Amino acid sequence: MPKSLSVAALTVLHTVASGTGHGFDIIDETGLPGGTVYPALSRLERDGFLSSAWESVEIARADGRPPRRYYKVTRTGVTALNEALEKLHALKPIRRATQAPARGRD
Amino acid sequence: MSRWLIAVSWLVPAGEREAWRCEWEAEFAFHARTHGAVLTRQRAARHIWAAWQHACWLRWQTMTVDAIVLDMKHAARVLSRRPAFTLAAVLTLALGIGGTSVIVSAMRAVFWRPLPYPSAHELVMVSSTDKAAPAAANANSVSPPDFSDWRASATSFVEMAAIRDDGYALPGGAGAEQITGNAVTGGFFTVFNVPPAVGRYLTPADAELGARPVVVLSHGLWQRRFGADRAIVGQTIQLEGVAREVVGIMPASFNFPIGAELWTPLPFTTEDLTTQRGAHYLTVVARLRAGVSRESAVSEMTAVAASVAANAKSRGDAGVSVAPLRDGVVGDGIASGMQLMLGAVALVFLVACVNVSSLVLGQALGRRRDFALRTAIGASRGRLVRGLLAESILLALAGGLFGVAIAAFGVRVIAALDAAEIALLDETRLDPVALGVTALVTMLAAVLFGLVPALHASKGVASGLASSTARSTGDRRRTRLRSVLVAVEIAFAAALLIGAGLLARSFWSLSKVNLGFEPRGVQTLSISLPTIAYADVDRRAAFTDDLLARLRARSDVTHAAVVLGVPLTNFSYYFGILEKDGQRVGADDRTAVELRIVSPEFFATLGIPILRGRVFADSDRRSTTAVAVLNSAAARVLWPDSNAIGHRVLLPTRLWRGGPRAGGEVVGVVGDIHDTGPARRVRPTVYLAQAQFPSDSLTVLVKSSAAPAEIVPWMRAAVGAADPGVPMFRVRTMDEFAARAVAQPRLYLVLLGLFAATAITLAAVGIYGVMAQNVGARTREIGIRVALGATRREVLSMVIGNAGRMAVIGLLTGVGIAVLVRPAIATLLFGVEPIDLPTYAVVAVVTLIVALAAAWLPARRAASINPVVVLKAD
Repeated sequence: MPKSLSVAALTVLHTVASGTGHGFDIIDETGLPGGTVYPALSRLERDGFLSSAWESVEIARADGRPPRRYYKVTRTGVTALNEALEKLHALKPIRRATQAPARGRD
Repeated sequence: MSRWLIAVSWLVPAGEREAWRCEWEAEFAFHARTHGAVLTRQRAARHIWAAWQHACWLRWQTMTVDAIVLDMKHAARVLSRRPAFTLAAVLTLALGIGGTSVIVSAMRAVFWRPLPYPSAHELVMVSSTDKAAPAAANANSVSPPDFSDWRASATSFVEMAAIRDDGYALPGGAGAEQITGNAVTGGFFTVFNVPPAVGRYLTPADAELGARPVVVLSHGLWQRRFGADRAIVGQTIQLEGVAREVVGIMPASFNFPIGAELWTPLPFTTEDLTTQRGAHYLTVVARLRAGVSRESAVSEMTAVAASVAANAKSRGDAGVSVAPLRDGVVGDGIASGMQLMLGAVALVFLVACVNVSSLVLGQALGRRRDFALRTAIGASRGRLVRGLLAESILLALAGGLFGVAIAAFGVRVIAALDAAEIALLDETRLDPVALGVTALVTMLAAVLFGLVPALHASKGVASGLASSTARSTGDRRRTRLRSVLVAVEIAFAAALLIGAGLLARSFWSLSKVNLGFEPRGVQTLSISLPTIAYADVDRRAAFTDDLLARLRARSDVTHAAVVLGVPLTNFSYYFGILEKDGQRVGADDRTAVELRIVSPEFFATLGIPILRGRVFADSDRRSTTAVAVLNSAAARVLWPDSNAIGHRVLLPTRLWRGGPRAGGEVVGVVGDIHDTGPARRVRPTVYLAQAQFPSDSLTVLVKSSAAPAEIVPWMRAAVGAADPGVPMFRVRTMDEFAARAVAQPRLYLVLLGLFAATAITLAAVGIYGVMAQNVGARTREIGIRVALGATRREVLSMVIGNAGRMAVIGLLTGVGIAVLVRPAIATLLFGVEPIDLPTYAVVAVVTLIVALAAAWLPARRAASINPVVVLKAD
């Protein structure tokens, strides 16, 4: 069982699951720094939440550039994502900052 | 971009490298196409940064503690098998890191680091800038009434305090010791706001008239004389015959004024505050109120000083300066020297970097076969690189460690060096930033130059294995790169040697300068006669006579004198000659001369020779004809064609209101003295007699065989007996003034000499390394040559010639550098031109000798190559 996902990893996973599959696009969409997104992608892929494949050569050639790598969410990835989201949704929003009870000096 | 990607991709573990490269290339390409126009530089940089981070992360994932330990172990084994290389590299790194850190730390202490007081930027030095007060050296230039009035009216400051430079005799086991101390007004410690280490500091109540005598000790004095015993606080010690209670001890960091060992309260009597407006002997420091700029303090103080002067109706052109405390403390003239030192140490640092690069490069070249073998039996390229990286890191760590040790030691040496002569130098502490940056740069050099050839070497696997002696052209190129590096080292070392040589020549001419007087055994003490009590100039003369008679009463006092303007103290009091033999001199021809007022024995006290005529006698009084003594320079410039004796000279100044113009009939000519330091030109000087033109601002000089701690109390007692109301300050020996005058050149010479020695040693190591490697690589070739009939001598001269070529190229470049940077050193030179042929020649010879000596061992080895052995081995 993989470790629980960090918020950044969850965001990346969610973005990929929503259909954004390329590294740079994920950076642009999430606003996270590239130094966070790429390691997260590599880690998610290693843990089996994502799989990656290469764009077909025809498309790339038609566009005059090398084929890009794109990431897809796996079944395990969807399950893990939804579990994590449910956990997050279970947390109720806080309306107002409650004051911490005053403590005596020790 | 793609080349950059390929370089970074080496960081990525081999299994993922290809995929990583493709992915990033595609992303960059896609973005270049779609966002081409809007792909800002900043955005591109962010993406590149992301790629780098990704690569690092991937690499990090593969690293395990075990693998790292294994790499390090292997590296240690490899290094210990090459002790000469390891030692040379570690020492080079250590010297580069240590030396640079020391000088940068010293620069920081003197120029950059805030003074060690809270909110040090608020501290200022306030000085009078009144041309009418001749005795005022810049730092001692405020009189008690001015100080008191300024302090009462100025609102820019939290507190303002006055300091009287002083000395105290402290009785002890082996006789009294003369201690540098200061009398300070009550607000002194409030200005600095440094809490005492033990007890309390002086308060305004201590500085009231009639308060119990107290003293605060410096940390140094407390340790040195009282064994760091806290119980001393509350006890009474004898200072100058006064019993003072020790009320506090300052922390070691508190050192103001520089060199002060104790502080006593400075009360002012009503007379001090009313009659001594002309007595300029106080140093004034102040702390600006928060938010008040120095500029606004200057404008306020200018107005305050003007109104104070107007109220006192004493002086017309009373000015005031408010300078940052550091400027007041460090003074000018040091910056250029220290900058040169910084430049020099940068060169040493470069030499160290180049040397370590060259060493590592040679090392890597020598191991091509090793790499090839390991690759052939299955080691990945990454493994080889990691191994090399581990070696570089080990080297860097060891070098860094030694470097820190050298830096820590060097900083102590620097701090102890001439501490009294260069203010704040003794505050030098090891600067972690300087240490960190130099360590990083040196290590980078080591790693870079180790890795690049390793990457190349591991590529040519087949050729490397094919034959141990067949060398590719690429190998040649890298050997040549090494030769270039060594030539660069020689160039820098030669430039440094030239600098050190010039400073040595300069110092030599400086020490050869005959000051024109003998400072040894002369004790000085300055006094200021209260203005009102001594308004009658005859009283001044009577006081002087009385004082000198008292001073001479001691059997070991050979001479005693008073002078306005002690030599070697930056004193300057000059005028354009007004009349020669009763003839007005045209405004354009008024030769500027220094004026000094002395008592008859002044010349004897300092051993200044009488060249013609006589000096002053006790019979020269106000009632007799005014007489003058010229120095040789003045006699030459005023009467170039005839004997100056019998002529009359008149200066445009009157020394007191209603007095006669300064000047008189020339009765004698005395020898020139270098009164502003050996490097400065002798100034034409007119001496007048204290009995005829009595000054109220004087320094007492006593020539005696007694130690300062004995003679100073005697001098104080004599002044006190002549008039207890006369303040005394600045107790110094003439030797101290003289030492201060050459302290800086000596420091620069020592430092630059050290740098040059380090650089040439490093260069020698570099030459040896490259020649040894050359010979090793050419063993087969040399063997063939010998087999074909080359003599031992020819082989020897071939190798030596190689080194010689490198040395000559380096030397010429070095000379070029020296010629280019000569303006930087010119200001520090005395008696020698920046392009000094003998110095250049000596440096050339030394450099060549060192180069050839370093090449000698490899050359010998080459010459002893036995062709049979070499060719059979193949």
